[in-house]
Amino acid sequence: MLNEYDVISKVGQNVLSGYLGLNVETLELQQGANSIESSGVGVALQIIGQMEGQYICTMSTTSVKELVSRMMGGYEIQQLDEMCWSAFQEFGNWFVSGIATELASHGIQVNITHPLIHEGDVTYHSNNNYTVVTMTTEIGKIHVYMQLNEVETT
Amino acid sequence: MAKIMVVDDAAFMRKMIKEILTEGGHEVIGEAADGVEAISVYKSCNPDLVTMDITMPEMDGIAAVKALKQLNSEIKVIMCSAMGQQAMVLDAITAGALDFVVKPFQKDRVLEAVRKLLLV
Ligand SMILES: [Mg+2]
Repeated sequence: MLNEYDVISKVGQNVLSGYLGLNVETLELQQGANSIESSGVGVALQIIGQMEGQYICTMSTTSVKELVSRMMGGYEIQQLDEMCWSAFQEFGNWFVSGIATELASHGIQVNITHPLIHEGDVTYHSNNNYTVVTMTTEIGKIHVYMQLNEVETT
Repeated sequence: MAKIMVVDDAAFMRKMIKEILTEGGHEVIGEAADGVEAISVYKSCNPDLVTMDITMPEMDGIAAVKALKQLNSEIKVIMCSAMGQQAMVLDAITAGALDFVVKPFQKDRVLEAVRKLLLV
């Protein structure tokens, strides 16, 4: 049985702690949200294949500057430019690719789509609930929302 | 020191890989953002070695490696992808890549892969 919370937590630890050296505390699973509100920034990707769904990761503008700065080897970010957005897209790509690799180890083959970025007030509405995982780090809170559904096979 | 072509659709990744390789004493002589561009850049710069992303628009990295193999059967390609599942690694190796580095990676992992391939 696939536990989405465990998958997100494990991949989050790998990328944020293992690679970027952050201290990560994963908060308890908050289930039940079918809408997402963000006033900072976010990166969204779709998961396609033997299971289908979406991944959205949101954080504050201050947090994303710190995140991108770490990805760029400590270079201080004043203004978020094209290169910063490319880095944030790549962060989403790393995270969801990690999820895809975890799914593969459960025998589920999926592919992922190109990352999309949002900035400013946004609300996502969905018919299905998202699994919500909030990771507390020294650069702020990082929220991950994911929904993954079985694909009906005929 | 090797002359290297870097292929990745993310500008950030191209910049990062280029910095790592340059610091390691190599020269990046070509860059491409998808498989189609990779083929034309390869023809014009003729690098010793190629780093290749997998998930890219137009033509993905697996198809690009197959096409480059047609141009040069001895080509040295290191796959650099975040999609690290076994099936993907196998596809890349079958297509003709000689090594596979999973993103995100530490600097040394890339330089080590380059060093090993230059000995082949
Ligand atoms: Mg890519």
